[in-house]
Amino acid sequence: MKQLKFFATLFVAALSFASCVDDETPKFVPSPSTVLGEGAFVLNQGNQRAKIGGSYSFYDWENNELNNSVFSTVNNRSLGDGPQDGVVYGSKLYVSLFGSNAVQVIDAKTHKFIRTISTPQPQGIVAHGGHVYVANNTGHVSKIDTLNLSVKQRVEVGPNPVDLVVRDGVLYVSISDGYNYNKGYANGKRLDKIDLVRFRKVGEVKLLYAEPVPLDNGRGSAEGNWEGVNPTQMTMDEDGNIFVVCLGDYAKIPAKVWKVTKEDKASTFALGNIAAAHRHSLYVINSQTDWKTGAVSVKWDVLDTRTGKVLVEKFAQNNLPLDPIAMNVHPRTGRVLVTSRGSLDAKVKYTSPGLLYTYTNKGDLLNRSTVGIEPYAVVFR
Amino acid sequence: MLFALLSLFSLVVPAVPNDWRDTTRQLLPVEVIASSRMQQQMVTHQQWNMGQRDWQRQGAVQFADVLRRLPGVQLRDYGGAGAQISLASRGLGAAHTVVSLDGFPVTDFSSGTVDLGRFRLSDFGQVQWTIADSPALLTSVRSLGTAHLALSSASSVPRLGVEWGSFGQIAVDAAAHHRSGAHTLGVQGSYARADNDFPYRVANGDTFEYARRSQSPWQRWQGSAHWLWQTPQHNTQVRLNHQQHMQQLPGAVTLYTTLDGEELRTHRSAVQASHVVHGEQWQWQWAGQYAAQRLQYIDRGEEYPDAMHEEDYHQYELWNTLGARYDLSSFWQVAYAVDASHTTLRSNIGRFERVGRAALQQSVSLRFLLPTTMFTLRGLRHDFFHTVLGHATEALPLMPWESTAVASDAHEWTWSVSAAQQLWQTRATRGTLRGLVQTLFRMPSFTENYYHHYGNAGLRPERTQQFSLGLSVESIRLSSSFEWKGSVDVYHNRVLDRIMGVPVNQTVWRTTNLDRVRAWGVDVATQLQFKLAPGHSLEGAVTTSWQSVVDDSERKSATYGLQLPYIPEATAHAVVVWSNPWCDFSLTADYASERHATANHWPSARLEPYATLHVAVGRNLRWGCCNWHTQFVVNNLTNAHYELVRGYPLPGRSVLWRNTWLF
Repeated sequence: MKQLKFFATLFVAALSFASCVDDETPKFVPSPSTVLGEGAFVLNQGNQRAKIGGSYSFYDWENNELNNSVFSTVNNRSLGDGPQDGVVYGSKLYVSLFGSNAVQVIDAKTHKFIRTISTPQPQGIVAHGGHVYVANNTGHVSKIDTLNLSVKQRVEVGPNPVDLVVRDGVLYVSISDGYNYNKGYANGKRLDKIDLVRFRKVGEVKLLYAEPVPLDNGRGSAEGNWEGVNPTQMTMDEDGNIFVVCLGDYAKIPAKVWKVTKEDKASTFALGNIAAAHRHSLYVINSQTDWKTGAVSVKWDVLDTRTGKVLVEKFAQNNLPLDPIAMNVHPRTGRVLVTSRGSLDAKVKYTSPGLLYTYTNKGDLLNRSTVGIEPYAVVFR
Repeated sequence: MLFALLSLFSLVVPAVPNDWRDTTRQLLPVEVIASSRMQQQMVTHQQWNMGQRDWQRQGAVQFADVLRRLPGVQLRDYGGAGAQISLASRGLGAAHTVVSLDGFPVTDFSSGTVDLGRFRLSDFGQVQWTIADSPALLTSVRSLGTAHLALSSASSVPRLGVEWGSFGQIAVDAAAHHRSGAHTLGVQGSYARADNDFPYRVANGDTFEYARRSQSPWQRWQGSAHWLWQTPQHNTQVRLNHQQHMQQLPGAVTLYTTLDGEELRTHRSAVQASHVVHGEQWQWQWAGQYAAQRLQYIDRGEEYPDAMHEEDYHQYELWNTLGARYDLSSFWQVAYAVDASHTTLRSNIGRFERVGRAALQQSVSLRFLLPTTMFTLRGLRHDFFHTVLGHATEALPLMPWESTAVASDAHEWTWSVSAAQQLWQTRATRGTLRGLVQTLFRMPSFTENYYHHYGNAGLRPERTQQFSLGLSVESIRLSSSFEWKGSVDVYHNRVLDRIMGVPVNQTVWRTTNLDRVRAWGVDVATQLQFKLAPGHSLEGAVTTSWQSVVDDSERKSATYGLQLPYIPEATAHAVVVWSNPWCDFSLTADYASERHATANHWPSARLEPYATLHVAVGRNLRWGCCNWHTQFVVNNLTNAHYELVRGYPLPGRSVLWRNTWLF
């Protein structure tokens, strides 16, 4: 009986631990990229209007060093205009440059420039199976051969695709129709599916939900619009659930995170405009700008990707980022990296250096560093 | 080669004196009392005039060349023939610059600034630049502003003009007239085009990349007709003009790619009429204009719905001015003017199908005038009324600051006091002190009020306070072989409630009254003329400006006390002209100090200082029944690489050859 009670206690304790944020114990084989040394690339967009070029900052975790001009120092040239996203694959870093209509290929270890691959208006970028896939704002997805570093194929998708994620050999592409704001983004509100073997569009996932769903991160039910308007950034949890940030129309329809299960069932999941998944946790930031004062309010929660329940409310409450832009969670350590603008002054907001905040998975601030202008994405090496 | 052959030909063709003049024509509403040199003695403000003969001698062949000679101006030029050019002065935005053509206002109510790139120098016979007041007591209220660029059409003396230049520049213009007693009928027309495929370089790290501007061809058609009736007692004129302009905009220079060009097409037409009657002690005048303008911006690309983004603006304006001047005595003059205008704008980008603005502006002016003293007082009342018609498609979502409200009506009193006093006159020199204090205000443009997402109907007008003090000195000994003039003007401007766009998020901007600007500056101008020998003269002119135009909004702001974007702290212009019996030879130099493209002076957005050198040679010839003026210009002789707007390089070394035949 005593043994039964003991094991019961253990069992209950195990259950209770299951409801917390995952700890830092590694449970997977590190990706091959870690042989390069761990660190984070922060892609800085610069400012296209003032012709301030893009760049990247590299945070070398092994040496605890941050270098904001490593590419230009090593290569004596500019990265290009408007970096949007990046991926480290093999020994190379691939950076999509929207303004320069190109993908830059860079040695991820030495930061030496390798090649510029021309492709129109690239946005999201992802790698799988020896290829790199790029979402082109022109309504295509380009397939880049990583051996000869050239665009091998292109497939047409919906208008203004933004981000990509691979699940079970299928490429999911968020279709925003973002340039069609006059007609309510009518031709977006979905994910397109591309079969990677045949590299052909094989289906769509409509971001449309029949019934209102209560959202647990403090806002009640998703009243009004039940369409995923303006889907953009995507992230995926350990179970293969895809989470899509739908930015709304910047006016009446607020930004929400939608969940798309492995069975391609779509539903609203949380209120927020920045999201990053790590195992079964979804970190969601909901930042709102007061247009009268310029002040930014930031709400940051952590939700269980399986149930939608808030695991940690007001995450990192004592050290919230000033004006968050992007977020990523390191797969092995669970460290959470958030980029932010460095100033709320409207006249210099987009021409001043940004900030990189590094937190533990408990929300403790480890580090706050100055990076480049408009730090738009975090890519891990 | 062709120029060389013509030069040989000119050796046997008799030359004509280099001082023949165009037929003069009285202008409305400005009383033209200034010569083609610098301002005469009794003016209360800074004024600068240049006639066709002046810019021919000085080797200016493009309108931007003349604009650069104006003291204290900031020019934004996007590079190449036909490119957009805006003109601002003394730290105030381009929307504060008033532009008129033959006394009729040239406006763009959608953006609020006039694109001067649509004009060609051969369109004009005179350019007058006035800062802070008008030379004439009786003038339309619209022309009273911070700065006034008054353009006068070239005379319709029968002529043919042809230009060839680098980067595919070709232009042809012609004019003809018929005179019958006091009546004159005239027509003018011109066509111009350019490929604008000039080479440029862009910095990439410590090296430069060289490329050639592509996808930026431009062409323009322009035609006008006029009827003048001039007697000693009255002047009447009726004018019709039309202009079409098509251009591909190459976009900003971007590393590793060449952007597809966007298209810009404009159509402008105007019907204008005026009548001026003079008496011994009085004058009254009326002028009216109906102008229609269409601007289409088209960007083609697969990223847009239907593979195209189009912005289409239709703008209509009806403007009238009525005024009278009366000389109370030989010392006192009084004038009253009232301007009434109605402007409407339709576009596919606004929140409303149509927006309209009716304006009633009145001014009462008083002048005291002695041979050595002038004092002018102006009181101005401005009334603006807004209307809208219809709403944009209901699917357009509104931003939190947007509403279907209409911009508020506005009523404002402003005033201006200016004075000039001769300080001394000796046998050799004369010195005059002048000063000005005034308040001004500028209504938001339609774009600033109603543009989709960007516009803000709650904007307050911009208010400006101007203070200016100047000293002019000139030699007056007519028999001397050496004449000179000089002036120094110091000014202080304060702009309150400056309208600017601020980002709300990365994709959406909105207008707001955010700024205060504080400007201090000094403009120095000198002009010298030497008569070296019979038929030989040497002329030199230098203008320099120093200006501090800084953000004065919030002390804790990162931009407080920093020079505003694109305004240099120092500019200079110098020209030397040697006139001799064979030709006019000129050398011109321009300089601007560093500028910044961002309000916080981000290092990589700095624009380097630049200096350019231009050389020109021209000659007048007599060929059969016509006078023939030929001119060859080398612009940017040292092939300097520079920008006035970041990302838009200006052409390097280029040549232009212009020929004008007067019949």
